[in-house]
Amino acid sequence: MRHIRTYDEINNRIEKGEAVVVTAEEIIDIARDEGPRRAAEHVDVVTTGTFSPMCSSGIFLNFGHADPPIRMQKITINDVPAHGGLAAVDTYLGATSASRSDPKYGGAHVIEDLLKGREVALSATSGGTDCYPRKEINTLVDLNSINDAVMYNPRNCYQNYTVAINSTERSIKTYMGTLLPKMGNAHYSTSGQLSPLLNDPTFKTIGVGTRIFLCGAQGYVTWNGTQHNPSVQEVNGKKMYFGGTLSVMANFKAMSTQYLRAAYLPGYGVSIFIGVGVPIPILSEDILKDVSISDDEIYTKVVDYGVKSREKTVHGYVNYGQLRSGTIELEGKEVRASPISSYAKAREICETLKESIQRGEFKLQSPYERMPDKVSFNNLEVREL
Amino acid sequence: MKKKLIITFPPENVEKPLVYTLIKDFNLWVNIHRAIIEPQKNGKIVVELRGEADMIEKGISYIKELGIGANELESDVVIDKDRCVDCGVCTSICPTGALKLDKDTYKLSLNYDECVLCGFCEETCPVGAISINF
Repeated sequence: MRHIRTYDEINNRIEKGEAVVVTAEEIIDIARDEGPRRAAEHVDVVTTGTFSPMCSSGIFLNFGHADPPIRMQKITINDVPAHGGLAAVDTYLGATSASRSDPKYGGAHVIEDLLKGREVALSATSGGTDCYPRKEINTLVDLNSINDAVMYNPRNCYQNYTVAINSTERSIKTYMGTLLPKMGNAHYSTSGQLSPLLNDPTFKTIGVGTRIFLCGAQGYVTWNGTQHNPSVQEVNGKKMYFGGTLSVMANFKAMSTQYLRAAYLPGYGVSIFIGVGVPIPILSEDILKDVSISDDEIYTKVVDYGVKSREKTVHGYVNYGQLRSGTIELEGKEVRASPISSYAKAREICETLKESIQRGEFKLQSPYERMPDKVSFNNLEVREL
Repeated sequence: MKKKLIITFPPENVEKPLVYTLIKDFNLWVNIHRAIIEPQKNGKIVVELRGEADMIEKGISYIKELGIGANELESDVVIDKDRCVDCGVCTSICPTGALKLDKDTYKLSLNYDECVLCGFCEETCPVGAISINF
């Protein structure tokens, strides 16, 4: 891989306001018109983005100490259970944790309410200790009063995702939305040609330490995501990448409600839309070729969510161009396809990130460590106790 | 010509052969999109009438003379644009294709003419951005 420029050179140009930054959508035409070599010579950075429900998300909070202090062991926020297994006033609130009184309200809604500046009700109990004598606390808190708030998401940004259909005789309600009987519809969930890990499918630039846009704040890739299991397969002469994931982190207090939204999927439960943007530095012509991929060249597989076991039947392969047209053909039948990931928001994230790089507010960080190429991937085999 | 109406009738008028009369006496096509009829409560029907313009008007007058409310249906589907994230998951659930993602902007749009107020979108929307006042 012949290097065209370095991170330092890009950051110098960003500082001077000279960096050429385009979105993952704009680069498609540029690369086609100018050819990858010429395009790579003058484009410094390409921005990618996604805005999808990502269940494996949540926030770490440190409430600060009350007087007398309490070691919080059972914690709820707006009646949503939060983790009580950390130090006295630390907790992790998972996005999918459901309220004990309203199954349509959960951790994601508390997260959104906090970000909107609303007060939420914190309740906690404890056995009481000599150092933490208080046994109960019921109080209102808000984002300003909370000592620390950090978003940490163990798995975001799935590289590619299956298209969900349902071949059974009745509607099913899933994390991929409501799937109509007899392949009545198909739901898909990535931003395709804008998606971060489809624009750097072999992790040439995205690694541990990459600076990213997370829900409006600047954050970092902290590790590979859980279930990170990159694979590649050939479909219709194109390489179909699957399985890469990121774990990400950023200051929750710096985020914006514009790029985060609490969700409730009927019959499934609470989830959260997370907006992630990743800048890709054009260090080589190969990287430029990777980012200039378009929806028509990105394939995914159609999978039957009506199958109630781990291994689901594959009903064919489609590309994102076909999906985005609104109709796909499956086994001779026209099936309406709709996304569950917002392309409009993904585009907005690419654009926002591009502008903040152009203004010199966002610099690129070279990763400290590469993502693992291969990891062992274990299923949970049930053993007798 | 066609017209969409929301017909509201008090419990004592449930027995009137409304649809039959609209078809037989006014030569109208009556397409019932949605109906809620519960004991001791006001009934509501969303209908689409098709036929001659004057016959539609006469049909509506007939309904009103019976003491039954008949109002032209305007937009009773409200999309909260600040809340909506334009994910588009409602578009494949919408039975008539009234909800669509724009091909250029990928933002959600609703064609009220095609909407039959089924309510599937309200139920499906993950962020609670759609409400139906029926």
